[in-house]
Amino acid sequence: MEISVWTLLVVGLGTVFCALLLIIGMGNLLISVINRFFPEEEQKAQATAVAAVAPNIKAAIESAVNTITGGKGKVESIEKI
Amino acid sequence: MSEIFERIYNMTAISNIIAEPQFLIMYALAFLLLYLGIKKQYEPLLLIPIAFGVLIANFPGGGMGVLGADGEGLVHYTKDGVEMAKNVYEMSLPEIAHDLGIMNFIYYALIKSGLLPPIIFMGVGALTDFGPMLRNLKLAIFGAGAQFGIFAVLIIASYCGFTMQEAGSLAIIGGADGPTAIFTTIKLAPHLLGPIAIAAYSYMALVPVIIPLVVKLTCSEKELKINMKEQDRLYPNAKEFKNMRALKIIFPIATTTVVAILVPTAVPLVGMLMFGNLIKEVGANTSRIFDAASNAIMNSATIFLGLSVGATMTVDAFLNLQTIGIVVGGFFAFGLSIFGGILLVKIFNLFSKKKINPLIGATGLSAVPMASRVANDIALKYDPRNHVLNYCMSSNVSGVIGSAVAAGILIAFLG
Repeated sequence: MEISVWTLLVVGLGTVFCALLLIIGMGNLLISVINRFFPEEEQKAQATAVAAVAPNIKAAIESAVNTITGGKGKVESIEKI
Repeated sequence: MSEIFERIYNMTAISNIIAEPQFLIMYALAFLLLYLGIKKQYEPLLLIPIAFGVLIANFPGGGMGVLGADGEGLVHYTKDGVEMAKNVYEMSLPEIAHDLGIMNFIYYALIKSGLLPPIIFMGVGALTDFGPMLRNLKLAIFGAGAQFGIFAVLIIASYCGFTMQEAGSLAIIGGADGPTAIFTTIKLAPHLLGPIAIAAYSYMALVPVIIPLVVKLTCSEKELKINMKEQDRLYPNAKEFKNMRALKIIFPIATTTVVAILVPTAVPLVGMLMFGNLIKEVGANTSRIFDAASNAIMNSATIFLGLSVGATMTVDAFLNLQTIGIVVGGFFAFGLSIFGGILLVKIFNLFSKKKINPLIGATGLSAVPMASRVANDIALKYDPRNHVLNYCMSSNVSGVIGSAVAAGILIAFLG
């Protein structure tokens, strides 16, 4: 049976939406399950990341700000955007 | 003496070029693509090999042009002055290399077999970060809206005299994904591979022109000023991520499974994309194969893909009305896909308190990450504090999955 292009439009777009909705749903489910059963690693990673920012990178950023602002600027916090 | 000069004249390509001056058009096209790739830096990694492939394929007597097989698989060529017609699928690879030349060997072994597009997808996966998509999962749905152009142009092309298979191959240009377009065309209408690949990559290279054009035509200034960070502050996302690394490792495995169950024909693309991403996310234990997938293999595949796709653009294959139809249709597919994503955002905004910047819909197109960068530049033009890059990357990356799924559907129904 040959399918019409109009049917293909509905079936095709419908399947793409279905697939991405399933991926979104599955992603949300994964986030909940991982948050509930395997939460530790991220906290460690965050702690490491914070520690890593402190000494060398912070000094480099402060020095750059000092140079650019002629000593008038002050770094209050460093945040990853 | 004059006989020697005549033989020298016949040995050179000059006699053929004078006899068939349409070769000059192909050289002009090759030089234009080389100029865009080298000087304008539009997708240079692909446009330069493709353009050079076009150039070397169109020197008569060079034997570097890819010979397309007809509907029965027959290729027509001349050997020792004798006209031959053989079924290319029954020829061994050494025979193809000997009789048809090395470019045909590369084409039939690596491209026509469908090997290289999934290999490139593996490299793309290894270079893709699904983090922004996982942090803004809801926005991923706009990657589906941006597949509208594919199916809309399928309808238009089928009414313009293209067969359903040809229309499907042409329409997939709207997915804005080179390997996906090539993979689909190989399966549905291999004789159109050259023009479709050129159109797909040319329009991808023109993303910085096409997205602003469609956005300008369809979005108001007020919509483009929607600040996503402000919207996040007003309507915060309740989700927190306690273990992003584990999430990023499990996500490609789970996504492959979901897509494989729903659209098995999309697995060669989505499966390889996710495999590439998995070996990236696992980290140190797979760093060697990650390095191979994202560098050596990806780069080699890109060279062979570019050169041999360019070599399919011979005079006979390119200079016809169908090619003009593909160039025009491809543009519409591209534009309608961007519009589809924008339209979905507009519909979403009608019903939601939390407003979404329509640029996030426009980037559902694929063409990662250039589409997101272009969208971010547009947003900054309207509001210098409005950084939408991370939000756009969500729909942008999901657009890659969306277009691969759309390709799988076209192959399943039309192949």
